[in-house]
Amino acid sequence: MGVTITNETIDEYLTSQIDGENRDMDTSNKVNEMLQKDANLMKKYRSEMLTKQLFSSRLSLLEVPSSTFMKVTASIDEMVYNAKNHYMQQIYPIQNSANFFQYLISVLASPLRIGRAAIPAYAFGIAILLIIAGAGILMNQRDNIALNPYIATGSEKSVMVQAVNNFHKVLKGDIQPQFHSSDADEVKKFVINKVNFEPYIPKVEDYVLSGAVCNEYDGQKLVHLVYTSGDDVLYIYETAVNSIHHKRLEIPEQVSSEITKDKFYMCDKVDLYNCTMTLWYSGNVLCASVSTMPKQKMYSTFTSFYK
Amino acid sequence: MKLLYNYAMRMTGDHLDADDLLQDTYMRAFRFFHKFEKGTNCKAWLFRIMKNCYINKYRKNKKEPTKVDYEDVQNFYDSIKADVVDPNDLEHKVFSNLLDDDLINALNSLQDDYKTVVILCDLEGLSYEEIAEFLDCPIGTVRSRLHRGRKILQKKLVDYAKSRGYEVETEA
Repeated sequence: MGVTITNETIDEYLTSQIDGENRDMDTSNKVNEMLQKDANLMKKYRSEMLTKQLFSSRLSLLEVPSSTFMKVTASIDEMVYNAKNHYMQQIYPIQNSANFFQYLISVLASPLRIGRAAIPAYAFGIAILLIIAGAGILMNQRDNIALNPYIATGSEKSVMVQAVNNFHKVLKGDIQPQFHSSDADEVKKFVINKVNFEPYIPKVEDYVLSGAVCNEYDGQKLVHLVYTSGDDVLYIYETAVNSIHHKRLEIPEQVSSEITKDKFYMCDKVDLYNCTMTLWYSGNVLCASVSTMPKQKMYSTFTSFYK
Repeated sequence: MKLLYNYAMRMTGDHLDADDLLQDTYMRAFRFFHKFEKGTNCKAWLFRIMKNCYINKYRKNKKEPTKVDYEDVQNFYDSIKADVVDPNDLEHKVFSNLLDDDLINALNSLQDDYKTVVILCDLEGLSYEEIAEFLDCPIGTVRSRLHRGRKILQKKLVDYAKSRGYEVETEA
């Protein structure tokens, strides 16, 4: 037996009809009949359907960034570790420090056997310390790469700084394309509705376009394009040139004059992995690309698509 | 985790707040896991923890946009003018030109009760039964909030479209 649908309740039944939630066939048929007979009701139905479709298609589900996942699991690990320590201290309190030191000395002096040879444990300790120190020196050398000064000292508004940061988010998977396509024209159609400038979507030799993301910084529309070729990634950041004039974004004056003079500015050492950055104008669009390619390769790739 | 993260993102509207809310939820769930009743829906339990965390901590600090009352838009659908042109095609064209930010702003203008059901149903694709279990309320309430929420959203979208210069005619 179906429910009684009145003028007061029909609106909500339309909602469940749209969501396929009128499970009872009788109710569903009654709603359909009323829709066929009443044009105004049909208008409401289609309007609400449109609203639902608009939100479900445009506000897609986001993937959990790996940094978020790590943050959550690390906090749980820490909680478990603390709880365990607390528990252990309650169960096995150190009775007195003299016993503890005697125990430590005996552990360090006890021989560890490798085949027939017996080596004191402290010798292993020293070897491990040396390995850690060596690794530290190597890491330190990598950290000492002299970064491009405009990036090392750039502010949050710097296009160069933003491009490098976004590029790393792309590599980590924190930024995923909102629109996936390898067809530059399709991507352009998607992007053009979301920004207030004519986006530049080049066809890059040997690289496949993965897709695009659009967002805003301080009210300024931005486009992010991602290209891949095997393990290499090429990321392009685009914004309207007037964002620089309005000081919502910035590029260093020396870089700007180099672009004006040479048509582009290229540098490496933009991060600890020695990635390469290129900046240029395409009409009224300022483009900044960052790539895992070394500078020489980036130069030939760039000149192949930038005529 | 994806469902919770997306809910947190849409409710807080901020990546860092969403991160913190998710972290708080899992920490609290872990701490009070002994209170979880075996055999019940774990996802719904986690969701309720997140909802409470959000209400207790984040909603207080959040700068809230002006909320729209349902009463203001109660007769909104009736006011859309049925013209010679199919009004739905017109709406479709106008709405498809709106920016994602307009949609997010419209969603943020909803009261939390309405916003939650819209997120769970239209964005996360949950059934009414699941949403009712998540919110611990009857299915009728879910249906009613969803209907009201969508009505408010549509009114907001029409306002945005008008402010961008599109002509969406409504009866006075």
